[in-house]
Amino acid sequence: MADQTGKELTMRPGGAGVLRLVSAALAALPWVVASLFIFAALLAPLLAPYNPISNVGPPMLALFSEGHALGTDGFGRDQLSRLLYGLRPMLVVSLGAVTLAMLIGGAYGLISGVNGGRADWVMMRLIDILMSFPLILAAILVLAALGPSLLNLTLAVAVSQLPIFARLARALASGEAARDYVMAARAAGFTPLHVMIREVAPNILRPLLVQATSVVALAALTAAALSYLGLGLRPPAPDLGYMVREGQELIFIAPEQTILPGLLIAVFALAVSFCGDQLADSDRSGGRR
Amino acid sequence: MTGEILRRLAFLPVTLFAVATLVFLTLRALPGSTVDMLASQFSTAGLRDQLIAQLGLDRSLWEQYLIYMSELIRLDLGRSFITGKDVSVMVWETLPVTIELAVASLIVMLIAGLGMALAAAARPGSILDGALRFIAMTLFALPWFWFGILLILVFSLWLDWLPAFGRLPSSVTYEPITNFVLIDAILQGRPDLIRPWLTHLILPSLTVGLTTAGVLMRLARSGIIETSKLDFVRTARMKGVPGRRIYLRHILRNAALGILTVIGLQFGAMLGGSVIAEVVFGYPGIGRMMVDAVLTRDYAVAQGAALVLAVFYVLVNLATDLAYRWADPRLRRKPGR
Amino acid sequence: MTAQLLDVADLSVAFGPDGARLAAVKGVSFSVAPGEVLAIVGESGSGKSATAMALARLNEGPGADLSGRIGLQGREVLKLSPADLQELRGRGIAMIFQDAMSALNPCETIGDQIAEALIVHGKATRRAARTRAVELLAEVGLPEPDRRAALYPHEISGGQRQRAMIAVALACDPALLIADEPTTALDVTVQAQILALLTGLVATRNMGLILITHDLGVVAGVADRVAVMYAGRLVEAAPVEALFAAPHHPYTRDLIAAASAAPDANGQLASIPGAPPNLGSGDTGCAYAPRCRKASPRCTAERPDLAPLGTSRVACWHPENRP
Repeated sequence: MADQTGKELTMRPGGAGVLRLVSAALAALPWVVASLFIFAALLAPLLAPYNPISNVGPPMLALFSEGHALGTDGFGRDQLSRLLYGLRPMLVVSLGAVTLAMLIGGAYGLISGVNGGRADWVMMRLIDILMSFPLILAAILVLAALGPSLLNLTLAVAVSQLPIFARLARALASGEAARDYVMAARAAGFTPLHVMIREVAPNILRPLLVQATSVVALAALTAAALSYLGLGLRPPAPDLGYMVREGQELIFIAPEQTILPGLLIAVFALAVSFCGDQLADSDRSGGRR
Repeated sequence: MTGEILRRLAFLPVTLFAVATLVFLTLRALPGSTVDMLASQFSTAGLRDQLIAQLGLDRSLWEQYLIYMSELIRLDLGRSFITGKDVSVMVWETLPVTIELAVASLIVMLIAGLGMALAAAARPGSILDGALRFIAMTLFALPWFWFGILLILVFSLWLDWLPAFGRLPSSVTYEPITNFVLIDAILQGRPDLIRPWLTHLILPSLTVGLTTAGVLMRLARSGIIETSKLDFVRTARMKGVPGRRIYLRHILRNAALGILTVIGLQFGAMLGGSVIAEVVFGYPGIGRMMVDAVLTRDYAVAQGAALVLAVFYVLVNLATDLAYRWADPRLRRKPGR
Repeated sequence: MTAQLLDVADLSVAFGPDGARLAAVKGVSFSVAPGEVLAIVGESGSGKSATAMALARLNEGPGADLSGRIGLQGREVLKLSPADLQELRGRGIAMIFQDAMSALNPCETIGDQIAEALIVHGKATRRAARTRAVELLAEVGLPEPDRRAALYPHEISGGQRQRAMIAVALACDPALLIADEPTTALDVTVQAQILALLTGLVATRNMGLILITHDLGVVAGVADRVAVMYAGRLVEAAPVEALFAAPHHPYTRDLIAAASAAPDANGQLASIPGAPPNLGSGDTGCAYAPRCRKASPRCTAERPDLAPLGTSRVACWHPENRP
């Protein structure tokens, strides 16, 4: 994915060398930031100085305290360690939910679009009904029914994203299904399943992936909001959204306890949004060429 | 045109019916549903069984569904498992609060989102355009709840300008008639209500309005830029129409149609944002009621609130759709006469 | 030449990002007198539309440069301030575009679109402009003009839309009207009606008309003089009779041959073999040389300039039909 941006930049004509270097650096920045988040989450056990859920020091230590660079929370847990471990559910839920939504929604749209006819109509009306819920509301309902847990949070966010992928895949698939090569494959007697998986699916994958990148941020924000509401992980497991909630109660004495976890969510969402934007842009100009 | 409106209105009951069914199925038929949740809450089996029988949860799913639907048709949303209060009454108390917040947020979103879009699209590619696009992206990426807390921190704690909690201060006595403070203030001749009501409304509506303005700005900006490339804009220049008038009368007027659709879609995000903002600011709306009900497993209340919010959203979307059809002469008046 | 309405000298148009401009029009010169119809003919990509747009500076902006001289009624169009240019557009010069459907604002009535030109130029009050719009619709031959003025572009037929487009252009009595492929989107009978309307208007209003077209058949019945463009340059300019009777440039001759030939056995229209050069290709010699049957080594080495030959001007080393 990184060389995608490189390619786009070298294509841009004109501009002085320095300017081009600066804009290349700016374009690479979101990818670097997003990668840093992923590495920090993966390496949390190595990077974190303490166990994030045990009481390791006096409570409410300020920032830059000795041994606790970001202080401790009301239970004496190390904030730095909690922030590092808190990245994990955010990444797992946002990436997992988007992947799940893309696979299920994509398959649903694929079946609907390739087959067409009455089944297609019914399948799309069902999606319309799902879309008549505001995203967050659908996710809250699912969590209300399933109860709070990491898996259920992922499922809930996936459900809220699913209709978008189903609609996109359906539009792409019905477009592809009308093209010559699909007609030819059908005429040659291949089964509908073969046509769907071997002929149509590879051709609609790329736009679906671009869409996926552009909704990771929304998924992360939705998941964080649900965690904030207390519908995500169960405490004491560290989770950025819930840490903002806990910090909010200490806002008079230690505002950094609510500012820092929220800042991490915002920076991650911003970085992934820019990544998604770049991919969508290069896809659009790629389509025109 | 009238045919299309009638068709949309005829489809409305179907959508509402489907929404009600979906809410029912999600809350009662998914694994780990009400009965299991209740089971963990009551110590003695006798108490639990009594409650389950009382709520009709011992009947088959199908029977439960029929009861639920027949009650719904009579606008009976059931009673709270916990307080025993009529859910319809609770909705009547909280929905106006959310509508107030939604309208205020909509105003903030329109001013901020469209203002930025108009300024940015007037000179695409300029430094101002780049800066505004970055701001819009940042607004989108801000977690709603966190942005609300930051506003509390700055405007309530540090600057002490605005209240951070609730809808009206406890020192103010308010006996609601319609539950819309503005209307009641007029009906009861209570102008003193308006100021505290507005100051409490500012931070929540800024939270929801600004975080949703980012997406509106991006979509409105690209809509305006796409419209400005259309041929009729060149015709207007050919006529000698001044640039300002071209932007306002030709480009914006045509782009407005697309923007209307975006606003309708953004309303969903806005309702979601209201749910969060109501929790952050302790604002007694239907969204907070729903979240509280989910957390305390008060399913009748959660179900009623979800249903009402979804219906509200469906109606708003229908309204924007009809407004779009009315505003676009190509849809309002079909050719062929 | 006497009392010219429009006098264009060495007009060039270049498009593209800074530092990589490509010339679409390269040093074109021509003139138009009041009441005269000049046809500019060429294939797509020959620069004819870019020339037409440049006359009203409609294609000027970031990524596009205009240079040379455009004199309209004694004013230097390329040196006008933005305010003066706005004043000129609609009154001094007006334009009709190919696709009236997209060239008209879909959200405004036809009457309003005609009236707007009058209002912004301060030529009429709102009410008077409405009345004038109906008169103009009548002048361009729209039946029931007062009812049609209240309709939107999508509510009338293609031919009527093009008539409405003409009424928009005529609103402020322009001295020069430019019609860019005005009939391409219409069917044949409507084409003829629109062309008749345009020539009639030129006569009654003593206005100059530049007709941009790729269709030589249109030119023969309508134009007084013809300018043929190829790869951004004028290759031949002549009175219409002379051009058809004795074309001098091999390209003109090939165009006429292609236009008059009957479709072949496969139903394909005859066309000149080969394709016009790309915008970015080299600029030595005659651009038509690769497709020209008379091309000599000199044609690829040295570029011919437009030179008088009889009543025509032609840019060719080996002109045909020498007098």
